[in-house]
Amino acid sequence: MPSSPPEIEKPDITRDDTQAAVSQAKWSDLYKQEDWWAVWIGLLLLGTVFSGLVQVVPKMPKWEGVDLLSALPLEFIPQLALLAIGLGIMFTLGNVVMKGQKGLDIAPGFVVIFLLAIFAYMLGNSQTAKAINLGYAFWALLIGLAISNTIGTPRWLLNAARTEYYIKTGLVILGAEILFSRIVEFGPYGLAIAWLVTPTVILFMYFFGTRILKMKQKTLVMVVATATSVCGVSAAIAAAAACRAKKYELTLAVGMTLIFTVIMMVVMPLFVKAVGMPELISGAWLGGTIDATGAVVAAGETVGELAGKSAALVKMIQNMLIGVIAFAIAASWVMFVDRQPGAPRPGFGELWIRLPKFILGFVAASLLASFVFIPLMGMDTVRDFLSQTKNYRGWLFCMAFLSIGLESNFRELGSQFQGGKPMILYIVGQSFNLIITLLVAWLALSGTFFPVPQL
Amino acid sequence: MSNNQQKYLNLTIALTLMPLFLWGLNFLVSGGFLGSTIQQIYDEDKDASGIFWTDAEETKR
Repeated sequence: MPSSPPEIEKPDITRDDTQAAVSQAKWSDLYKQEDWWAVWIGLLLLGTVFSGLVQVVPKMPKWEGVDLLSALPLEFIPQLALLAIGLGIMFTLGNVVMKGQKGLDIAPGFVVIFLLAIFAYMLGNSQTAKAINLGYAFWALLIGLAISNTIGTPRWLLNAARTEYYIKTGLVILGAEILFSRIVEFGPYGLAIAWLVTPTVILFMYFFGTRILKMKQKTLVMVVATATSVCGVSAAIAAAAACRAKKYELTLAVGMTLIFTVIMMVVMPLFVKAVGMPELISGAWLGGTIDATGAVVAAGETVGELAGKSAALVKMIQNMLIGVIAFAIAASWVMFVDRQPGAPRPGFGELWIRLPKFILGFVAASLLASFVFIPLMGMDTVRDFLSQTKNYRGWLFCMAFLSIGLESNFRELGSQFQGGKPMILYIVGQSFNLIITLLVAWLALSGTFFPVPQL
Repeated sequence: MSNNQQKYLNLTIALTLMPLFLWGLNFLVSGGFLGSTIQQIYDEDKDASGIFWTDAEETKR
């Protein structure tokens, strides 16, 4: 019965044009590089909502029990069809202009990937899946892997499986959700817990992975470190795009994050209740350590109302770091990691050429939302718009995870384990994170050194 | 059965098992077999799967 997984016609995972075009910048880069297309499409999609052209971006409904058919009400189908057509035109056009491919070579694959994304959302939107942190990312990966490891992903489907393209565009849209004005709401306590601990844990894990464990894949170390210390899947995506990690590395980091999030979400609330830890400190501890944002809020609220608020606060501040960290990773990769031994440090010109340009779109979207749209439209209106744009982001990330699955096979995924080193890195890093976050939370919130804040 | 047919059968089985896996999880979660924390999250209809802050924010509203 079992047959060996077929060989996949796997495209070069370093096919991103930005890597090749390091010799000199050209105006044509603006329409020939994937990074720039991600910026244009991301800003265009944001513009459709902020201009009022698109008022509702379809979002799959949550459903309960075992009635899978209720996951896709018929009235959603026209909206989804319109979304698929709109996104399909943009991404196909990008491929045609960048790669000179024919539209008909891409469109059928795009349609199938979008249909599979609907299936992934259907599974991920069940009340059960949402309660245990198995959202669309998990199901999209699983569906993609099921196809690639059984029938093998056909070439026509691979043509549309453009992981980086979808991720980078989704990240530009995500940038708009990072509102600088909200940082002032948190006060120095949350900033200390989230912004002191997070970079410390990243640096610790990076040095532990590269120096102690001697892991050769620095990109994998960085993606795991960022996912562990910042905010799980979204941070892993941003870090992977910033340092141009391989798809397998992102899959591995996301897989470990999902597994350990569930474990920590179950065990940590039980532990803090058993030892009688004060809610304020326990919430900050949960918020600073559990990877996934949704899981933090859910787990915090099972401890108590104050713990829920404290956990949410710390996690939100960590989330704000995602852009700064993605930018720092991209710049440090160009300046240090990718530099040949003995080569001069790249000047500003080369830094500009090699820097992943989607980062600029990411930062621009954040600045626009924070300093242009909020003053012009007000916070409530901007939040309403963002509640729609994040649906675009969700679809793009879902298609990205499907694409990763479609381009992966279990044998190559297994080879990434390197004798369990990534798992050791995660466990040691997370243990360090647990200790240092608890220490800083106690120092800041116990009332021993500073006044206890009122939440 | 040809090798090709076998591959498509494997894919069909894999895709069919996904909802079945979900229903199995539903039995475990709703029955409280995965612990009190998960059951509380499930009973209160919370979303632990949001990947960014704004996903979680909507759940809270």
